[in-house]
Amino acid sequence: MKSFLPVLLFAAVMALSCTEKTGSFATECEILADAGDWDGLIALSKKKPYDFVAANWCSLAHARKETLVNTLFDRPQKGPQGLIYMPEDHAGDVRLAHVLYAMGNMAAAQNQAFNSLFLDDGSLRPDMLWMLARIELMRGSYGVAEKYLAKLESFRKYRDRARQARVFLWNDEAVLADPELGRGRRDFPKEEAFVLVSPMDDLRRILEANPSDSLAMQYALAYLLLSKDIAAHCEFVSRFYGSPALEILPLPSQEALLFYSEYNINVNGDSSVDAQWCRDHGVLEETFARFADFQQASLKSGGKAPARFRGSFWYYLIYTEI
Amino acid sequence: MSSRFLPFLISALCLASCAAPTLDGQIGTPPPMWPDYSGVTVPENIAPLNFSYTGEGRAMLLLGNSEIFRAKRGLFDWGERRWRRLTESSDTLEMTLAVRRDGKWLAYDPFRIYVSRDRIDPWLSYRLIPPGYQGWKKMGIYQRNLETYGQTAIYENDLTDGNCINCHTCCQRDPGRMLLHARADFGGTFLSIDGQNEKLDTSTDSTISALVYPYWHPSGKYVAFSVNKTLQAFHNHSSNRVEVYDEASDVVVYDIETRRIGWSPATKSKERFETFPTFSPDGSRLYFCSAAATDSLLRNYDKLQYSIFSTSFDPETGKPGDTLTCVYDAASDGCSASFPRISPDGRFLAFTRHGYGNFSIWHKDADICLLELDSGELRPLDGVNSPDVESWHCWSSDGRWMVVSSRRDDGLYTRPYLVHIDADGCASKAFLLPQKDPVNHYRELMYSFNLPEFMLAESPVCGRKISSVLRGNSTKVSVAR
Repeated sequence: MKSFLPVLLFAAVMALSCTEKTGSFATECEILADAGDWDGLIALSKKKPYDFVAANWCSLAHARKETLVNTLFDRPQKGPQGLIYMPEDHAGDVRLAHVLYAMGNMAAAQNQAFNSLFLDDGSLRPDMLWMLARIELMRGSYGVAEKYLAKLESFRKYRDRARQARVFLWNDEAVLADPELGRGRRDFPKEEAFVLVSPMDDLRRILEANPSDSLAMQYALAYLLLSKDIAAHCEFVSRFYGSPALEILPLPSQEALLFYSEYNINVNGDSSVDAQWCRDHGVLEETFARFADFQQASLKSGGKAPARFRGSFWYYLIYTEI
Repeated sequence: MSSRFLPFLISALCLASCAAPTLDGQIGTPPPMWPDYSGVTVPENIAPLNFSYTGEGRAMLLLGNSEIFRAKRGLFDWGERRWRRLTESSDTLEMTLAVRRDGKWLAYDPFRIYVSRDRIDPWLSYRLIPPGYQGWKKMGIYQRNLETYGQTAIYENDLTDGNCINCHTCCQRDPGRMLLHARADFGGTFLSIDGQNEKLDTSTDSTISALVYPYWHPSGKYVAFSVNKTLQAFHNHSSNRVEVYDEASDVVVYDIETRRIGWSPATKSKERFETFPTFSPDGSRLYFCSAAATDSLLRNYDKLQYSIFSTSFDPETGKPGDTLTCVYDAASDGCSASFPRISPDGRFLAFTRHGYGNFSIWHKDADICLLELDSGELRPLDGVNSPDVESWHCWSSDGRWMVVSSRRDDGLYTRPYLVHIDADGCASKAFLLPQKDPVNHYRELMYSFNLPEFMLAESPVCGRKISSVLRGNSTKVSVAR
């Protein structure tokens, strides 16, 4: 029981902090995200290290900076909820709208943005309207997009960008050529399914449709790593390594591949994912060396967590309860 | 100048300004205007059909051969007096829209608005709600005077802390006998009959949910309802966006006098999903949609197809019959049917036809169809259908008009279209509910028009009364054994 105490304490703190509605913190995060101030968002979210909501903002900022996977274990993690935390209720959630939008899950982001569109007094949130306008442009639903852009022109902060976005109306070529809108349009999966039955299934369908989406790729790898699903992670790398968004395998993913290879050979007697396979899929020699070091350290420590590997996937996999 | 000449001078100036300018050429295309009212048939008592010229330059309308009517910032605002004069004096309004370009007046193709002497029921009720998804803040049920632009609230949900309110419906379009549901906080069914108001708790041990989709018996003694276990999911790509489907459903009949719910094996069975009830105008039959029960709906939602069935109904006992008659086998036609509604003369059954499922407002292929009950002849109601969604519909009291929910304008925001139906069941071109300044009104409005229904008069029940009843105790309904 004693060994579970820290875990229970951690879970209790997480649960408490997630039910807490900190208006000012949420508002600050929303403003920083809308402004694209990712460093500011990382700094702010560090104030709540044991909060899934703050962790979502932090992950979003890292994803936007393309550092999500490589920095994943530099901060406390407690499963994939640190990437995307979905409360049971259907109340509007600006955070979720931003996270789903970054994941490329445009249909789900649209739902969240729509649910968050109105304030209590019935007035509109222009940031969510802006997100909806962009998603409608991605969908090619230009009639609705035009309605939203016209509405946005009445908000001083959004006037210019709304006017500039009119160039995309009824212009598929312009939409596809725009980095953000083009990415979003390509992200709509070809395989029809309902969203949010499983966030990972959604990410996979997005990447099947658009293997160039580096944001979705980071989220997918991070999701698999935080889920500790090393078999699924290996299968995913096997499918997507070498695609435009996964030309270099991030270090935590290399660590996960090596662990899986070792496990699969020793426990399952399956050597299909051997050292050469790992090398062919982006695992570097330094990572092999560090893994050997980790195995030695683990043996010597007699089951205790080797502190110098705290920032590795191996440490998270073995010593962190989720 | 002597002041006695002034009136003559003013008259002369007015005549000069009203004189039709010479048209210098033809453009050769239909005029760009919104809403598109060209070729529509309107009732003589409808509010003025204001519209906007949406192209570049100054615009004017030539009415007939002489009268001109200039747009102000593109808007043609008829004004009540001019509109009444025109619609009372002629069954066909002929007009030509001309624009000023390079110092010349150029004419678009002429167009007509047809005026019908079939008067429309003067009121329309509807819910205004954001067209999404799961959340809302503000919604309300409103009534609109169709002879003016006046809209007032019947009920707004801020009176009960922002809860969901839905399924407002009247008996035979009489607002003195109406009901609506409230969900979540202060949940229950508000029932108002000739000034007597009550709140009902309609959940029972024998039914799968509280009462949902209603339809009043013409006698006013009963209301048929569906009970539904409804789920919602979101497509990752489909232009249909949202899927709303039932995991189970039945049709039951509520007896207003005894406050009891009854059914028959024909309307409530585990083998089938029954929903969307409606009565025949003489009250002798109960119609509804029904599909073979299906499981694993997350995978099989698009295999669920509803057909239209009917059973006898005894207005003395309030009991539906045990035998089912298939009225339209939609499933055999490879499609699904929703919202059956029979014309007041009993000849035509209007329904929404779409590929699958029952929540057609999210289905782009949804169209209104008409089934002639005697001959079995089925046809899409061409005048009202568009490439986008047409869904909920309601007949006027004389059966000459129908209001239809449509998403044709932008693909998302549902708006009411009114359409004339002649004695043979043929529809004229439908027209969008008029507004004083339609372009700005509909562009600004962030709400959908949900469940538009005709009413013969203004609702006598006010929001405060509804609120006080919803905030009070409810009467539990029971099951007829």
